[in-house]
Amino acid sequence: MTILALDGVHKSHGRAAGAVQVLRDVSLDIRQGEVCAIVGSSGSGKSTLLSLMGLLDRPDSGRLRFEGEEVGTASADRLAALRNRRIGFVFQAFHLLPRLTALENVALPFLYRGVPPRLGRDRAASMLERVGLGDRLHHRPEEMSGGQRQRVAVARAVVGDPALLLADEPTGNLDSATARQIIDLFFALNADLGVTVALVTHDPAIAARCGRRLVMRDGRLDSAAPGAVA
Amino acid sequence: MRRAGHVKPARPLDDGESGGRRWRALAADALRNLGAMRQRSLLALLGIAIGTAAVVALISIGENAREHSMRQFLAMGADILTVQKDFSLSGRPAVLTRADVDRLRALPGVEEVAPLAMLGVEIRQGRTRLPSAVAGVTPEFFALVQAKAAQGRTLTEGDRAATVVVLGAGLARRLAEDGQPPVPGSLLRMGGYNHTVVGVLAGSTPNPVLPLDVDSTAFVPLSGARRVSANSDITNLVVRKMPGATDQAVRQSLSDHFSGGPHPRPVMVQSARQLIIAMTDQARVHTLLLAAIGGVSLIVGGVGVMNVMLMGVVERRREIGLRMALGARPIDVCAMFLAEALALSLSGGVAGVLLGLAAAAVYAWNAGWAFAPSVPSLPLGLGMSSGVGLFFGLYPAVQASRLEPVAALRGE
Ligand SMILES: Nc1ncnc2c1ncn2[C@@H]1O[C@H](COP(=O)(O)OP(=O)(O)O)[C@@H](O)[C@H]1O
Ligand SMILES: [Mg+2]
Repeated sequence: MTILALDGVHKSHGRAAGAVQVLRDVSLDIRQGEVCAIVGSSGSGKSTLLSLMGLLDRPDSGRLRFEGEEVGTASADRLAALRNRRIGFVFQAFHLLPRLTALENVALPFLYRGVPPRLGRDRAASMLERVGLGDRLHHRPEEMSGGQRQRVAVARAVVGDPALLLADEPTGNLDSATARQIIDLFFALNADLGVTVALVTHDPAIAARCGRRLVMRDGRLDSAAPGAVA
Repeated sequence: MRRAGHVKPARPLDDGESGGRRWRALAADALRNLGAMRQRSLLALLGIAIGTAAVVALISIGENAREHSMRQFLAMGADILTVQKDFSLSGRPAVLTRADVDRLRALPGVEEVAPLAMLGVEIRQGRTRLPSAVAGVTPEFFALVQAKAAQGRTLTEGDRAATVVVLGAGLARRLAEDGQPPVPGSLLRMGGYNHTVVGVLAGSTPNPVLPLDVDSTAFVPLSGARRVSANSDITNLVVRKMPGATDQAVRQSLSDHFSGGPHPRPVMVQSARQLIIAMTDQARVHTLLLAAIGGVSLIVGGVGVMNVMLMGVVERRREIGLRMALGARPIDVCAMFLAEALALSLSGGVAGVLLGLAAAAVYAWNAGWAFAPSVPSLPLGLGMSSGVGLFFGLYPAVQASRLEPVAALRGE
């Protein structure tokens, strides 16, 4: 089953004359339950692609469907609701709010769902336990290592039970041993929760572990390896 | 496989949104965010606090001042009118006579009339010399203005030819010799004659409609006023109207008395009620004016709030982007910044109300008034500060909510 479909998507950055064509005619399907790596050289458009997949940005042209719904022209509120309930994000720079504890950071998505705070915190606590941080609930980001921070971020991404987990170079700021643990966590969550994963990585070893690799080259998906299976 | 055994958890989250809880959670979030911008917040908060304090203090002071002057009138009753020669008109000033007193007494609505001759002389007691207001009065005067003797007595018919004097309480204090104020039996020298003090009046607040302050005046019999000063003509007539008579009608018949007949005399008739109305009108204008000044300081504080919020929006672009990625709608972001602006200005408002009341209390204490916190100034102060917060917070909040989630995430 297809969870996300891009069809002939174009995207450029910047204004009219100086616009940079970043994505050219990109089409792809992300199928439910898969773990998909997006690789490519720096500047090839991976982050731009991921922000479209995560409904953080809109394509200039082409169709973008999420769970069968045409979202290229959906309202800002509709996109926010989908991001809130159906999509989880993990970033290279963690993006935790420094003044909140791990628990509060993880419970943040529930703030925008109208979930009772206590219920949100309970679910956040069990998700933090799930990622191995049951003893760090009340620590602030600055009191945690990079690997621990990224676990908090992963917990925040999946706590709302999303269908799609997107990660943009999630191990870019981590040493290789910690990076492995984070990637292991992605696979474990994929297996346990059935969440579909798409992650951008520069690491060939990580890409090799993924069921599918999409290669970006200068704004296009490299058709030489269309949805190749490892 | 674990996955096979996985049961999707029930998702009550998709329905059952609760608006109240959502807003409460957003408010808690706003307070936490403000704490993070402590230092700059404090400055804006100070601006709002000073503005609110100004409004509250000025309104309270204005109200207390008005109450104070009302109390002055009420002490003597609001039924007093005065007639005095009108010097502003050309021609000879009118002459007021004892005959006028009798004829005014007979007018309908008039209860009592007392003639008054204002003199200014130097009073000497031993080494003390004090220029003072001296009034020649008839015995009815004291009852008319409700002045009572604290020691001794007031003047009587039997004093017509006597060289006696009754002192106002404040004047008696000022005439103290070696810490001993004059008492009944003391001698005071006025206009070359020794006058025997027969009474000292109880303290009173000045009544603005009277040409004298009872507290700081020496009273001698009208018939003996010539001993004190060469010019001892009647300068004023003090009138008390009957409680049932209308102010307007009595004023009119008093004026008519002097303007009628073959030789009209120009006089001015003033009533306490007239003055009260004029004073409350004036006080209202003052209060509004002062409140406007406070409003200007509030606006300055509001601009401070706007600054804090705008800088916050710029500094927190990443956070805004992150919150949007996590599902915050534009309106949620707008509400977050509005709530922060409101929390900021409202805490400034609370501090300002307390500060303003304290300032008004100190002012009232200094001026010797009774202090009563102005009740309407509390909701007004809080309302104005939160209104300012919402107004000046709106622009930054809308700016924040218009950020593109992806651009905000890059922190551009
Ligand atoms: N907001 C932007 N404005 C202008 N150019 C941009 C913007 N974002 C990205 N780009 C450009 O688009 C290209 C692709 O960027 P990106 O998607 O971040 O690539 P990758 O993540 O693969 O490194 C780069 O050339 C980059 O300079
Ligand atoms: Mg990138």
